[in-house]
Amino acid sequence: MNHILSLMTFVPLLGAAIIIALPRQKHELVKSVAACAAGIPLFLSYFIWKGFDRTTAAMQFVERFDWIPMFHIQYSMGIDGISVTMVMLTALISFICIFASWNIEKGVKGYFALFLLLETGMMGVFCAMDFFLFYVFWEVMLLPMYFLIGIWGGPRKEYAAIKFFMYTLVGSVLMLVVMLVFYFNVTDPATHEHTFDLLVLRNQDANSGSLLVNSVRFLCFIGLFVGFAIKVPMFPFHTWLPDAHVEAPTAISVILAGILLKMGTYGMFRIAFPLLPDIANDCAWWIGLFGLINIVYGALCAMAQDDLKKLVAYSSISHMGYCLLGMGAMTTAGFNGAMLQMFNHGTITSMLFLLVGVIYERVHHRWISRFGGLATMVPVYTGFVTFAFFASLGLPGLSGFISEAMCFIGAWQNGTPAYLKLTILATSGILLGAAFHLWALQRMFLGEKNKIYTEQYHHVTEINGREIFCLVPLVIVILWVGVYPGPLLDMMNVSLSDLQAFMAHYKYNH
Amino acid sequence: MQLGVVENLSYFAPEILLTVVIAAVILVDLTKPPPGSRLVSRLAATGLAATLFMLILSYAELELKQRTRVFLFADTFVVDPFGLFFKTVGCVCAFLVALFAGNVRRIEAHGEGEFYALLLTTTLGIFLMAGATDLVGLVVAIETLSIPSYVLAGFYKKDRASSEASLKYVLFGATASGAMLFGLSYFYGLAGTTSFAGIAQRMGSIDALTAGIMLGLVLVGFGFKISAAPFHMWTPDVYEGAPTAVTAYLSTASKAGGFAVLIRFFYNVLARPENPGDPMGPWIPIGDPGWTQFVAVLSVLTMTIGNLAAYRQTNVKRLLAYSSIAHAGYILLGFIVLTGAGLMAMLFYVAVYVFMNLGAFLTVIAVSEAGGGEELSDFRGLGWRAPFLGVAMGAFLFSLTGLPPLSGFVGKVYLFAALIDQGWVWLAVIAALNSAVSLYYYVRVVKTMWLEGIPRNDADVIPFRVGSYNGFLLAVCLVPTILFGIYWAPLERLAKYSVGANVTQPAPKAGAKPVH
Repeated sequence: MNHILSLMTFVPLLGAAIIIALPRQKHELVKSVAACAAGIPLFLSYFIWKGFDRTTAAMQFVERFDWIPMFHIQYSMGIDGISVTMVMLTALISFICIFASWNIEKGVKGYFALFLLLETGMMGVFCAMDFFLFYVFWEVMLLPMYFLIGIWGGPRKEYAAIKFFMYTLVGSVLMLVVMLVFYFNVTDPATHEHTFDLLVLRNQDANSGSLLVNSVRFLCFIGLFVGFAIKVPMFPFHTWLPDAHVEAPTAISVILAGILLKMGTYGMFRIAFPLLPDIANDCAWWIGLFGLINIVYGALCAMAQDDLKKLVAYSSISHMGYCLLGMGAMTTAGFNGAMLQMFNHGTITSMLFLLVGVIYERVHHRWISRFGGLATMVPVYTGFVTFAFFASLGLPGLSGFISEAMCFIGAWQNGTPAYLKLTILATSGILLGAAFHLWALQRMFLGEKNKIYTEQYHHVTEINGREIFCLVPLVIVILWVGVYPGPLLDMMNVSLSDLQAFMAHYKYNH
Repeated sequence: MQLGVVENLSYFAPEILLTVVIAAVILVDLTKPPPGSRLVSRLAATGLAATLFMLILSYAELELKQRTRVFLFADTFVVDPFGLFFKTVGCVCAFLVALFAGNVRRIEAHGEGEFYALLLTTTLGIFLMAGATDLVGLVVAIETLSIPSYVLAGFYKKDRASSEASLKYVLFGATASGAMLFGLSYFYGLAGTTSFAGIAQRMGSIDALTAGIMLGLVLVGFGFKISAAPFHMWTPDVYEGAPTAVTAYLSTASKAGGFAVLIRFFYNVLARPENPGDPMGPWIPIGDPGWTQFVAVLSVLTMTIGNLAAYRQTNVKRLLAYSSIAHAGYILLGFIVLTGAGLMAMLFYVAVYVFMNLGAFLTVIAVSEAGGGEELSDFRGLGWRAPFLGVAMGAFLFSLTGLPPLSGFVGKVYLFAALIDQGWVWLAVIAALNSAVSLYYYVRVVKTMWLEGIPRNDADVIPFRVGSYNGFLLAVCLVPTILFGIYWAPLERLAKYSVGANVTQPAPKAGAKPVH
């Protein structure tokens, strides 16, 4: 089990290689190989769940060897409380998405090979402990995503794909420059060499005096923060998201919303905050402000949508705002809330996108106003949708409530008057969130059947076994975290408390 | 190190062998080999492979005898790892291009003998450029490369575009050569010697204005060879009109030769290592007329113009032509930082660039030989019809963009790193944004190949066969493009060795006093 993280990362890549070698006509075989290749990481994540030491903030399951010695690049993998939940989430969502993609017809080989390559990239981002390695995985993910949206997407897929690609790439080249600035300004105290090791880069005492021109540090923070904020996506860098989500095929929307968005906030926790804690503290209020804008703006936009998928996409923007609000608070509860919100949003929004896919597959449109009275025809489907909507709007007992509440508590604990104002204003997001969810639910499922678009009702059939199979694990996780979040919080709490203490130290000492 | 004539010649063996092959190609062609026998192209390729082998022997000989460099012909030519690096790059390019061209029917129809004789002569020119340490030798070497290139660009005699390319190339080339010669004559006039080492000793006493004018004129010539803005105007037309194999060659080997002389000249005549024993460390300019800032501006101009102009191109060759302009801009980044690390980054980038760029042009050749065309619209849906070709082209273009895990990314990281190390962060940011922007036009080709003309189902696919020969050549370019993106330590070591062991001047002769 020494190489568990490498296995989780590269087994999907191996699966992709096998798929490429398979004959083109054997669709079922390709899908089975894909399911196995995505299943192994899920299986291994059980051992992570079992073996993860919840009492330490140190890196675990560490693997480390020199990759390019002359440039001091290491292949260094490891997880702590910040990444462990994301690794498990990635394994779970990827596995589910293989089954959600089961009825892909064109270019089956290419689809699943790219999908598995994507999983490798995502896993690698969450496991990499070397900045260079992190960057490589971060970029590797872009290519399959471009093709998955661009080939298997909806009508405006080409526009959506290139927009996603360009936005992310502009953000990441800024990150590349900052990465190199850090490399040349930091030496590892143990070896007296430059390094990309994130744990060494975080060690501010070793760096001090090298990179401490505040204006440079500020620009570095902005570079990193914008790179990650594009991925979150934070207002005003969010415009790629509705396009990409709407055009992407169902499973890819799930991956996008469920995992890719988390990379933005994860990057802040892992890189932007620890590497520049003083600047992050200075900018905390602004992070919270952008969180507030995300919450309110996302919810208002969602309310205005008639396209169900776009509604879910904007709800993601709103929900990721809670993460930003919690992070900007710089309190332990806020950090825990943000982290838990990342995990919960991953499961809830995955469910929402899967459910949107279910109805779209049957009637080939997603206009809310053309539906009505679906509850009488497809009660089981309606049940799932209601469950997911309630989880999303934060009903107590379901997971969304816990994390949103923790974000608010954390934000409130920040204590500064300016931040309290943000927090108070942000609570309006709960109301708005409930409003657009319930309104959509009412328009689609309750009331009379739509009088004009009657034709579609012939195609509306109940949710099938494969679709339920995809949804049930998510339902279980949402209920479980909603009722008993302790085990999950235990995993992340120590690392996040450690990070919070670290940040707080630099709040007063710079 | 002075050596006897006979021993001299053993270090000159690759050049001699190449000359013999040129003669052999001409002679064999005179015997009128039966059409379709490909005798000439095979001979040329074999000759180049043998030359490559000789180059490796030269490396080994330097290494075994523990010499960092050997001067030949009264110090006018040097054999050192730096020169050998560029010779190897040029030879590999020529070898691959000879293999590409071997399968192009139209080249055979226009006379294989002439084509390969000219191609090999340009390669000889690159070899001489890489080793020249004397103004006269330098000019002769550059012209040995240039004059056959003009003919090669117009190789399709009846083709209007090809003839136009040739004419344009000649006119621009002649002007650039003239300006360069004029500049070089100043060097000779003011220094009283044609050897780089001798000029370097006098540079310190030349006033900045004169030095600036001289350098400006010389840069016209070198800038033309590497197609740096604003001397890039010829590039798109020539690259579009010339036979694709020639374009592939001009955009890689010829450009590499240009960088070889650029580095050799500037880093021998106008700069010296701060610590003479450590060429990997910082360098200091001699009699600085501020050329680093000037070249920095050229570099920004070059990459920006190249990238912006590539946006609207609908011809793939023309698009790649602009892309190669942009890449000259990136490579120049390593030139201005005045460190060994910058030079190493340049060498590294040149090495990875030739494979990805040759691969992209080879794809164009493969498509047009298999019945397609060179317009973007001819590539529609090709990824689905020829998956390997599509994947390979995607890899080449994404590598040119600089996305990991492909070699172009690593090359850019080294260039940016060299910049940031010396505090040129603003330039690194501009270059990084430029490479992000360049994605847009590279991805247009990928989009046309994969996102358009998608077959409804697998049965609808009409296969597009490029043949196993071209497929194999694509793989030959693809392997280094991917491999050096995942594990590049050996190439890094080679680049470091090539810079570290040299670009330094011969030991000052007794009596000559260094003047700085």
